[in-house]
Amino acid sequence: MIRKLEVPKELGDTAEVRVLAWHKREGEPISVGDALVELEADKAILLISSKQTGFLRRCFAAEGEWLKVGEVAAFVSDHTDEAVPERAAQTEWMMAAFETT
Amino acid sequence: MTGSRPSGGASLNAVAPEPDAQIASSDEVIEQLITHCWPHEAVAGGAQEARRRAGQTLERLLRAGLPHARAAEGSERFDPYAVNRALCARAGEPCDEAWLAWQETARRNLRALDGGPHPMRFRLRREWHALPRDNPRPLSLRLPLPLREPVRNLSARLLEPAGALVSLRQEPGRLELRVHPSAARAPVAAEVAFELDARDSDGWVEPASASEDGDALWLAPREGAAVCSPRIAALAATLAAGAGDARPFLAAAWDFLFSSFRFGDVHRAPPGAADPLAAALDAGWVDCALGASLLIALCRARGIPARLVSGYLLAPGLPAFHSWAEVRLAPARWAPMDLAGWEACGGDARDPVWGQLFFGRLNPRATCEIAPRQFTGWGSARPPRRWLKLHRLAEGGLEQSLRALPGGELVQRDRVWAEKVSRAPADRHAGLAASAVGR
Repeated sequence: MIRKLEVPKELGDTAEVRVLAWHKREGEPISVGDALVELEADKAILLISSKQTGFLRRCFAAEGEWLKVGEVAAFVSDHTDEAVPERAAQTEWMMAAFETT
Repeated sequence: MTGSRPSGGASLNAVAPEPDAQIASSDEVIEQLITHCWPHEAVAGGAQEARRRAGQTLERLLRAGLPHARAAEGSERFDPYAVNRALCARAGEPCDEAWLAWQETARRNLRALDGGPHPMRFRLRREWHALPRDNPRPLSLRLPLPLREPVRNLSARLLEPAGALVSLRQEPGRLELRVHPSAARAPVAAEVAFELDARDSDGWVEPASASEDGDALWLAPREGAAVCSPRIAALAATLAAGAGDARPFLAAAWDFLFSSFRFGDVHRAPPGAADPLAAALDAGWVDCALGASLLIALCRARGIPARLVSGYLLAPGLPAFHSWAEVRLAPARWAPMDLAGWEACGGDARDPVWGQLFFGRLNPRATCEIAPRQFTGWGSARPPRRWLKLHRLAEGGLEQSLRALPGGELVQRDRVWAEKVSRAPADRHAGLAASAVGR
């Protein structure tokens, strides 16, 4: 199954965030607890970690680029051979943990 | 919109404190008054006299009814912002000695670097006192760097605790220090220093963005305190009504801001407030960032791209963090609009020397943030929801303490130094030398 990772609203009063660092590369396997990506607004840094296993399949913003709150930041899949749909496709949400660091 | 100022000698109701911001001792208030009114006298050997004057000023304000609280042990506690506003309102007496000293200090600082460019050395020491302690990952701590002004002889080091630095990275507008999480158990301190040529500016040429965001970024109806509320939109429509060009509108907005507001320290609306400018419009008080945000909101309401810019004024001995606005007047030209001249002209925009001083031009400064996308950022140091800043002279520079409200806990303390240097620079590289990284 393909699942989406959206930019969460945990950064408070902000409309967009900058991708500080991806901790996984496209195609890499993901384990529970793995750090995926750090997002930044002017007043906080948010670390997103996985709460499920899978593979990081597609990142929609490079480090330094901006994403709007609610935008799809990445797709993950249960298996490596699943076709990755268009960014706007309706998919389930991936299970992730958000913490300000 | 009130549209009118408190009258001279106004009641101190105009400067009412916020009760939970009454955290400063009389000594702290006196130190802060010195930075505003007699800093040059104090550093030139007159510290005792400056303190005497500041103490007399506080006593006079108290006699005039300055609100304050009493701590459990009986000592007086003040909202330092209310004290400063009391002076800027000239609420003590007509021709208030302290206000005149404040104004003279502002004028001296604003013109301290005339005739540049001047080679200068800037140094900032930052202490973080409230870091998350339960975080297993390296902490991200930030120090400011100029975005526009080329720097040389850049150096940075972690001062405390020794050995905790994991990595140091130079990015636009900042240095990022990654520090071992165990460091959060004690205050962390780091320092950045560099040289730059301090020069005036009359604007900034920047190619128009080709991104899909385009002007949307500079016309956003809500960004920080710059919120285009219906009230702002209605106000903007009255300024140079019918003018198709940005210039007459800007001139009208400038006159409106100078004539309708007083400039002084104000407590900001908490993040997420529906209308962060409402209190400013009601009370007629703004600080630099709030006044700039008001101008930005007015511009955006008229379809004129505008943005908030921040950095350090470089007056030798008294460098200070400051915010101003930039307004796009041509496809690629951003004009600076800085309300800092208010103190120098006492709010009279018609003053031939000071009233238009920073309309479209700036004195020397280090530009460190261009909202919304270029910022130093807080990193792992989470800002308190409400706070105030206290200033004092320290070790030949200016110290700024950020304290959380309510309670007054110290969150962050900066000491900033700026001085002219005469020697030719040895290192013209902007990059951070690896050998400069302290551990």
